[in-house]
Amino acid sequence: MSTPERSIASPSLTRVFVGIKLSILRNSFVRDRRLRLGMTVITILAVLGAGAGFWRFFTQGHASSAEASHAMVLSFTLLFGAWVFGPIVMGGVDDTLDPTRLALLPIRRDEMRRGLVAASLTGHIPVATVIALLGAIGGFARLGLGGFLVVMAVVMELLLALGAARALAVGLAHTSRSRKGRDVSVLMASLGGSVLWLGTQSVRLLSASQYEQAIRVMRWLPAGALGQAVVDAREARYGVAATRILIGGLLALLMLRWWMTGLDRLLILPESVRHARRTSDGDRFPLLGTWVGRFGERPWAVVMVKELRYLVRAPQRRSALLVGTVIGAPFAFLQVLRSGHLGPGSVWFAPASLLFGIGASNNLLGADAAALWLETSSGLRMRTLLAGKSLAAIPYVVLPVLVSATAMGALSGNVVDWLHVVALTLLCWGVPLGIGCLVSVYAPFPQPDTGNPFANRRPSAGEGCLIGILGVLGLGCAAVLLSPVALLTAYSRHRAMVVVLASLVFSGAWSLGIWITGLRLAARHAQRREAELLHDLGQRRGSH
Amino acid sequence: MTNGTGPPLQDARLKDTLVCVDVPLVSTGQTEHARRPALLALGLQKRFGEKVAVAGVDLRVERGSFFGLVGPNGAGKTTTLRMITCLLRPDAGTVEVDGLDVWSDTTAAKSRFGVLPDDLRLFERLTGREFLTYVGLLRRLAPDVAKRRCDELLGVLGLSASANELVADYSQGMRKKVGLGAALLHVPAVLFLDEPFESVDPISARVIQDVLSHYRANGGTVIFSSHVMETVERLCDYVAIVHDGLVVATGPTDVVRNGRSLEQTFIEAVGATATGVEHLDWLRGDAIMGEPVRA
Repeated sequence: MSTPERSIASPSLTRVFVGIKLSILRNSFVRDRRLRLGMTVITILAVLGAGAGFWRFFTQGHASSAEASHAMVLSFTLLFGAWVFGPIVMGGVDDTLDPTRLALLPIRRDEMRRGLVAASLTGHIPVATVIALLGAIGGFARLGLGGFLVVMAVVMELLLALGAARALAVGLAHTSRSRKGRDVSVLMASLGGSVLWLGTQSVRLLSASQYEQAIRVMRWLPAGALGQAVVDAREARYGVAATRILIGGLLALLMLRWWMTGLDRLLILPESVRHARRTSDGDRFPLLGTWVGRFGERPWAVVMVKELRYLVRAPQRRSALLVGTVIGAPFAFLQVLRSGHLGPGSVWFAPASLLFGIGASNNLLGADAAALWLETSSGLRMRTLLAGKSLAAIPYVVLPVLVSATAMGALSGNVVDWLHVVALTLLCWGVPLGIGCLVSVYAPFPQPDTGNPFANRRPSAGEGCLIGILGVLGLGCAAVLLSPVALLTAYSRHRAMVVVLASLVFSGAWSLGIWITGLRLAARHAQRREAELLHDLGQRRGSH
Repeated sequence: MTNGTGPPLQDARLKDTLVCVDVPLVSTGQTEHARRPALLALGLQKRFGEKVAVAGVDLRVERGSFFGLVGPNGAGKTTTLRMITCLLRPDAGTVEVDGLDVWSDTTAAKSRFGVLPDDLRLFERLTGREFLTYVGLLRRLAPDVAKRRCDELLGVLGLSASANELVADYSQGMRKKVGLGAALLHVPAVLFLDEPFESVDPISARVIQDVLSHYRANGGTVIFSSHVMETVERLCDYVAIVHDGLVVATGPTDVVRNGRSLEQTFIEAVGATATGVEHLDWLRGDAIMGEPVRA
């Protein structure tokens, strides 16, 4: 039973893949009011990024050889790093065109490869990257062999970044088969991202010789080599440029191949993965169950324990906690470096590490949103629900600060201040969580229901930008609300123990008051809007 | 070309879409290809850790059959269907669909069957019309053909009015119907449906049944799993009862039933025991009629 209407006139699958991606992006903008805002923000950022990148690359085309070399090596390396680690660290791996949704279709591997590569190059970030890289072609390319080599270097840079990003994402998805594998992969990706990010952020802090040394190392890395190849091509060092491009190209092909091989396995394995996960997870944390009894089986405690179980079991939640902690600590460390040097007061910079953990505490209802109907239909008051979820989110706002405070305390040897910061951290969780309650009901985001531990938001929807903006605003509010605590702490820091203890008691009470206020305001807003919340957080809306 | 038997077609628009052309039905003068069964699964096994999901399933389904796969929850129906449709690699066993080994010639095999899986993963941010059109294009239909079939299917399935809404906003029944449309677009030789009538209202169920009957009447083979014994009994001429990863009874529906209802046969075959509902003594009248309690 074949059909005579299956025609050779059918469009190439690559075009169809691109068409699907464009339709998804268009529908996100046109048909969904909430996504429209995110899409607008990401469009603005992409336009600004593309313009700035284009200008930077273009102007370097007229700079001296040494200056251009430094700039291109650094920029190409940063671009590569941003593509590879950015989505993982920010929880926004772009699987808009999720290949597992195409598993039932008779698509050959080569067609799938071409289609997915083309679809991956469709969207705000890829287009912004291409525009920026066009600046390098405009600035460096001259007619002839040199121009051709510049174009090749730029194309290879794009393919290398794309291939490595996707290969890493797929490779990490494979490690999701076991709890340990998932955590190790999240940890490794976060560490890689944080090292790269810390490195880029601290470039300005390097001395001239250190900077020169760093560039020399980057030239040996694939992306840096491609950046150097652009300069070599301009300077008519064709042989060297071609060699660098060849190596970069081979690595790009290797990455693309790794991605596709991983995809082949992914398309037929998810079921066994899911089952294996179910059986391995089991009831490994029975102690949590006894907590309910201690809290007298109060509804908020039941909600809290359930959320804590999820924090232990759900890959996305654990990855958010790990990423927030592993990236947060270097961020705080960077603030110390920027302030001058690692002195005894460094430990007070630890709260800056909250920046990467606060996203999870600002979206209390969006995680596991598909099951929210159960809690709302059980007649649970919104205040009780938010209280339980909020208390279970304490690790998100406490762990990053404790880890970075401990690291900086160890490095600076300041045990007294370390103890003070730890006490304040354990007492003042109420401020970020009170704000988190409000953000959770005013701007909830459905978390995609996917096995990918890095997919914490809808891809290609601009949600990452919105969540980032909300996180920064939330931290700003927290800083303002914590100013009385800060003043009191500054006053009591070198005084008698009783004064310190009194200030700690006040801080705890103040923080608790902020949490309760935030909780009440959020509950009042959400109580009669449960239906709208359920609609906005509908799990299908969290999908592609 | 077709034998033209079967229930009357509810909507003439489908005639053009679902007419199957070049393989004669099981009758005299069959080609070698046509003599092969629609599905031949031998020794299928799948284990998840310690749990044996499928312990060695053998299935042979002739062309033009309406084949029902029934069994209790966790019996292995869905796992079996997934292994047959290239979604889950079996630990052991072979599968041939329309004469093609699905695990050695996957792409060709996928072009010969359509699937409506239980966990329907669709592109939620496409409209129903876009989704069907893109599936048609991905199955290499010419754009005009894909568009025409898509419009016809949307009409027959009662989705025309919501064709331009996002799939994310579809009800469960609408999702099943759009999924069925996607499975039929390329005129498959065999159609695999996992619980097609679950969460579907009676009118939509009737539409789905009409489409399936028309497809089958034109030579198509339908293999579906279901818990609804009445539907299986009414639609299927062959049935297999799966229990604990094994086929415990199979054959023509009437033979398997052996004069009883299919439900009775099913319960006896899987050895269902008493429910123990009498232990739910807390589910009593005074509690049910009591005052509401706020959490």
